[in-house]
Amino acid sequence: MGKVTIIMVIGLSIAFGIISWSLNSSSSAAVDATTGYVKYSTARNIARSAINLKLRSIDDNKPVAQTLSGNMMGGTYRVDSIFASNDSIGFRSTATYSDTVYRIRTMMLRTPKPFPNISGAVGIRVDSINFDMQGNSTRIDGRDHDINGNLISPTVAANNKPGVEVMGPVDRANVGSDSLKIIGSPRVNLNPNMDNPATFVQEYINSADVTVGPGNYNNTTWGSVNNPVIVYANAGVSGEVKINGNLTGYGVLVATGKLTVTGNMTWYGLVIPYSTTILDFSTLTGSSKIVGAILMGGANNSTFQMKGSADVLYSKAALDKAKMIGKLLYYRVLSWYEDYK
Amino acid sequence: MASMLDIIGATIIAGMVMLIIFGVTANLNQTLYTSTLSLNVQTSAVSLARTLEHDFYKIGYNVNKTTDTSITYADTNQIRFKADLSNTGTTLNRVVYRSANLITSTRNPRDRVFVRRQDNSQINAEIGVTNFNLTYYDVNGSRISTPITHKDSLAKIKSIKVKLFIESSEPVLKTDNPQDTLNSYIGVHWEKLIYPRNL
Repeated sequence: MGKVTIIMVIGLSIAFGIISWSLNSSSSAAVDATTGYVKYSTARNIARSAINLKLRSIDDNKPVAQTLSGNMMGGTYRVDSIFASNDSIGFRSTATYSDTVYRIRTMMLRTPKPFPNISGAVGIRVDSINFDMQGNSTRIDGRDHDINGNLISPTVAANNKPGVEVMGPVDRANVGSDSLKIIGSPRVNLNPNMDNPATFVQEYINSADVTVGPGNYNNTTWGSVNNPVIVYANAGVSGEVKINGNLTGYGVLVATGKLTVTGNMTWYGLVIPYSTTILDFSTLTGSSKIVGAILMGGANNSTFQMKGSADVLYSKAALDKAKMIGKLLYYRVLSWYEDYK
Repeated sequence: MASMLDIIGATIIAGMVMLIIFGVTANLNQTLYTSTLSLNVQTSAVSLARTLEHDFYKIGYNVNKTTDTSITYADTNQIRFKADLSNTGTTLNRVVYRSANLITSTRNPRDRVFVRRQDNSQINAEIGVTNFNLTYYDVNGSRISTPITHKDSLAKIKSIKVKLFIESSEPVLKTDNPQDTLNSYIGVHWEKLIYPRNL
């Protein structure tokens, strides 16, 4: 009797053990199936977010070719640049979460947001402008220059612009008094339809990489050829932003209020002196040079003054570079391929 | 007399113990059965979801939009599209997803054959798909009425909502309802709005 009881107990134990093991196994398998999907989804989210981070880093003027890597959401990511040209970029994003690796390969078209149509070396959208070019060395040149300010030779007539553009005939006559210091075809052009800088300025201000207030600025470089920036010089109502030494900048310079240059400033790109009130834009002494263009907007009787040996040299190449500031770009997906293992 | 009472008492107790053991065993078997069906349904749902995502996110990849159409037919229970699924750069795959005929070999009256065809290779999956529903949206998020056959309308598709319901092939609750109501089966619902980036 005792042996039978022991055998029955052992038999029952084994039976219950098998049932319990089966229950646990199927439960574990269900958990594995679900967590496998979670790992896959998380790795995918990391890979996608990493591409957004990469685009954000370009906004912040990091080199496109620079690899971006880090940790996120409990996993790791790495974004490599696989292609870059003026108008398109390509990335490979690799994300790892637990034992799941997710890859995305994408090509994107990058397009500048609306940029002012520059139809002259200097565009003045001001009525009754106080226009004054003093000094024998000042020059406004509407012929196309390369990105360094060298005249493109042989010149391509279609790429050359007027020297100065104004809104009305009175201003044309006023500016025309300095026409010997202006080169272009024509030297002074009437263009009542020129772009209003007011349309663009607020976005530039909101996206500014550098903002400076009233004061003196010198021995500074803002941006570079391949990483142009937006600089906002805010002189306030009665202040003055004064550049009184060597200063080099690349990109878009927005100046609200009084901007005076007494040193050697070189700006590659677009300069926008803009205000809803009377504005003074002056290059007084020194050898300032603007390679690109100026588009000025302000209240009646604003002042545009050039002294010393200041040059404004129209350059399509410099303007094209300025358009490609990271924060002024938007992206459209050309191709997008995802895979995992 | 006393030994008779002992024997009767022991028999009754032994019977009760046996009944309890049989009851526990039956319950365990039922739990195991339910658990297994649940596992099958969950595994099927996860596998199908991953396959769908794998393919749907590639819709239109390497398709020349100026000369070709990424999605060639779109309806609530069927989609046909083109994509370079293997990133060959040269070969476009033609893919079809659709739910087909009811499966008669299972007790579930709603499960259908789920078809995935890639070029000339077709898989008929009998994994308990009872509802495969697709909804299409344009760039503004507005629903596009189906079926969509004209290439201009097909080109407007920017996102696809996929609804998937998978049920166990056999019931887990023994009901007297001859119609096998919904409660009799274990089910998993999966729904996702997919934005294929190449559209």
